[in-house]
Amino acid sequence: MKENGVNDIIQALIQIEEDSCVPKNIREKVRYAYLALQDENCKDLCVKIDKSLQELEEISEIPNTPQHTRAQIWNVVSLLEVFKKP
Amino acid sequence: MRKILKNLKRKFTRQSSETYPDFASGDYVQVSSESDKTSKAKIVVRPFIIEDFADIKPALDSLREGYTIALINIRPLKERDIVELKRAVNKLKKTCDAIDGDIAGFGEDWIVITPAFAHIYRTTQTENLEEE
Repeated sequence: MKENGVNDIIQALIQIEEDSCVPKNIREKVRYAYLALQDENCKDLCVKIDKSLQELEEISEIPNTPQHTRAQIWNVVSLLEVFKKP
Repeated sequence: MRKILKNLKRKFTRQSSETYPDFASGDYVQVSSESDKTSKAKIVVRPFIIEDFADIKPALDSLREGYTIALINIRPLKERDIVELKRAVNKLKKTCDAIDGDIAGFGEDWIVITPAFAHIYRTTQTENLEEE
């Protein structure tokens, strides 16, 4: 159940990364965010989500983030927060 | 006959020296201190100084690895910006929850964060302070 939800989030992040309107530095951070979720070295899902959230929170602080991307990222952040709760 | 006895004696003396290591024959065993220095400890107690919100990142990364007990000095950030400090402490708390660890303040300038395998000792005095 959780794994499927996380896969959906990864897909959403990949979509943001592939968006050509998004600046390069933001795309790079989005890539780090979904790579953190895919990290096989880390077994604990909570830790993966926390790492990913850190990257996404940094993106929302960048001033040149497009408005629609910011909204998409907040959406992903809220989904991740739900999965993080025990 | 004499030759045979000599051979037997030589054999037995060699066996006895092989069974017991050299250091056992002496009065004491000398342990070299160099081998202790080179052996790598698994758990690391590491200090961090937070002068800016971005400085918490290395602390969080090493905490997520699960083998670091972080001692975080918050004094520089406290003197600069109390709002940023609150943000930083909230972020540290969130990560601490994620790793199932423990977080506590030591005095006014230090915060200690431990992974799941350790917990921070709290006396009744410190618990009363937290409640206040």
